[in-house]
Amino acid sequence: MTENKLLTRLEGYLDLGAKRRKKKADELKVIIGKLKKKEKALIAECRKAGKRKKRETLEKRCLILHAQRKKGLKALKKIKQK
Amino acid sequence: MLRKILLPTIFIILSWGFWVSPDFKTIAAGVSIFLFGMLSLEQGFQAFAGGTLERILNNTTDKLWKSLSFGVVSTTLMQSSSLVSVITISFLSAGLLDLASGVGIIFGANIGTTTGAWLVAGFGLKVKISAYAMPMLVFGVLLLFQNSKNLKGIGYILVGLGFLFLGIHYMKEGFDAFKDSFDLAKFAVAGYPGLFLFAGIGIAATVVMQSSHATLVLTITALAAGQITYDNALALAIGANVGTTITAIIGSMSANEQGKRLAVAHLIFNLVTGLIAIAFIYQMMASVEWISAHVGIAEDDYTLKLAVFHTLFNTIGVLVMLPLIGRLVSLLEGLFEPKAVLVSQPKYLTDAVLEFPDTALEAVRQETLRIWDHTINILAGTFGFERGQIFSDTDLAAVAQSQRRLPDFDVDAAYEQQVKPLYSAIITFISRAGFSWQDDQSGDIHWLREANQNMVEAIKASKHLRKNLAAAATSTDEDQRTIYNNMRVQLSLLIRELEEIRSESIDESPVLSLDHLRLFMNELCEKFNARMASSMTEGRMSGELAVSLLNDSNYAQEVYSKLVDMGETLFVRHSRSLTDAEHEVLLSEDELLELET
Repeated sequence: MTENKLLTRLEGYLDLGAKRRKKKADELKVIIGKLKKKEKALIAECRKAGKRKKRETLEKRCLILHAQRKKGLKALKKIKQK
Repeated sequence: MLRKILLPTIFIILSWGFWVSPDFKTIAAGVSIFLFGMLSLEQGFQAFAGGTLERILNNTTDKLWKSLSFGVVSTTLMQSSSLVSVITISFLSAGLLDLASGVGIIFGANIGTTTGAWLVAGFGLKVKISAYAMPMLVFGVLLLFQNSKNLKGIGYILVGLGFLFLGIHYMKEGFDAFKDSFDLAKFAVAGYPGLFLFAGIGIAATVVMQSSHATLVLTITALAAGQITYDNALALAIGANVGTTITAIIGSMSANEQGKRLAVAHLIFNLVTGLIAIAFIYQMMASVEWISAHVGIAEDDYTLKLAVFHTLFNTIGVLVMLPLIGRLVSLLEGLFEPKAVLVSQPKYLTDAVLEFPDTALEAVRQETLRIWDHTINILAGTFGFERGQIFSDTDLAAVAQSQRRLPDFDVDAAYEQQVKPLYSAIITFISRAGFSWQDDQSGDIHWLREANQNMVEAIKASKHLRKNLAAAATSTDEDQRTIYNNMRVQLSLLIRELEEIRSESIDESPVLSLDHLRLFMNELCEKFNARMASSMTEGRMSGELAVSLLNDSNYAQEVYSKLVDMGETLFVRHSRSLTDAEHEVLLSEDELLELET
């Protein structure tokens, strides 16, 4: 193993920030997955909804879930860039 | 009064004993060192009680067999049924365990405690136990000086074990020397009178030392030295088993009715077991002989036979009582009913849960949920609905429209009686907690305190609203009536929705459902403003009414946002780290506004 490689590995072990970031990224992935599932379910419910008012409410909820998911993806991207 | 006399009497008797016999001094010192070891051991385990111990207890007691096994294993490991029973009482008081599981743990602890007799009889008397004690003490004390909480905990455990072993060594030495100068066996009493007499002595010794373990070790060492007869040693073991319930009873004095129920269950179990053992003593002795012969215990090895007897009668006790657990639980529930009081009393914030940070945190959460429950009642009353109407599919708008006046409701009195006592109890409880909260625990406490504050502020704001809500309900001005009715209907629907979010499963990340409520509030405000503007332009609303409505709309907004904030904190129950990730994706005010446009 070259010196550089060894040093990189050592840095990886010592960098607690990286560990924390990885943990946070994993948690965000879980949340994003949940949001996606919820969004899909709501879209399906929205299609079935008969009354206009109910449909509108569901659409708004979809919009929020989508925004939350986008925010989560953005945060995840930021962590990965670090 | 009794306490005042008891301690000096014990001091005098002991001093007299020390003066008369140096061997007695050695035995007493052995008992003291043993008890000190137990205290260190308890302290060591409590160092891990900042979450780990409680989490394990929480996850392993959902079924009777699990709680039974938990009782056996934990008592075997900790060598203290008292510590297990006190922790169980604190869990029960905090509402983390149901009574049946608690009783299961206590039953298991009674079997687990018998391993102590095996350790002492099988290992402690045959090996030079003090040889193990010395290195344990040295390593333990070194660890005690470390900064890490866990290392310190291990240090306490090692020191505790070291002192336990050292205590046993001194007791053994004391009895060995004692038998040369004084023969206690001369005082042996045969038959049933002896059984009751020595059982009584066993109870008294355990009550004084607050440890059945210590009594049992004392009994075994005395038996090994031939200072007491085998029959009387059996009676002492029975007495020790009954006497050990004193720790649980003392522990339950500061606990709520659940804790008291468990302590009485413990007492009933040990009394019944003791009575069975005394009633069938000769049959049990025969069984011990039979078992001993089959497992290869020597004819004259009475110390191991005592261990067999101890295990046998505790196991029989569990077998007899296990089918009766349901009846025992309902009997105890009838015996200790929660007091019906007008003013709310804290149910979970007891002294018993104060010792363990995670349990204390859970107790605060449970109490906060109770405040939420009362808040629902108060808000429902303030808005003129019944609780049942809010939590059903009832069309609240239709109900509001049909009401010609709001039902009477005193918000102040309800707040003073139902919420304020609990809120102040929570604040006092948090400040009384002697331990230093860990970072994540103190974060949770901060959130919970904020959730309580949010609920209180929501109630206060609703109180300001109430006057005009009531006036509007009787008003002939249809516009005014509709606007105010809509206000109380929307706030009640928010409560309905919050309860739905609360009951959502953890997998669904309930906290994320709160963003749409915030967005909805912004929309409601916009609609409200538009409606007011048009009413004023068309001359249907006076300036005076407009000012009142603007003020009340602010109060309604405050109620709304405080309740949503409360929900964000209180209804999050799963892992703290995941909650952080959830909070990360929650939308900010600006982001919500952006969505609206």
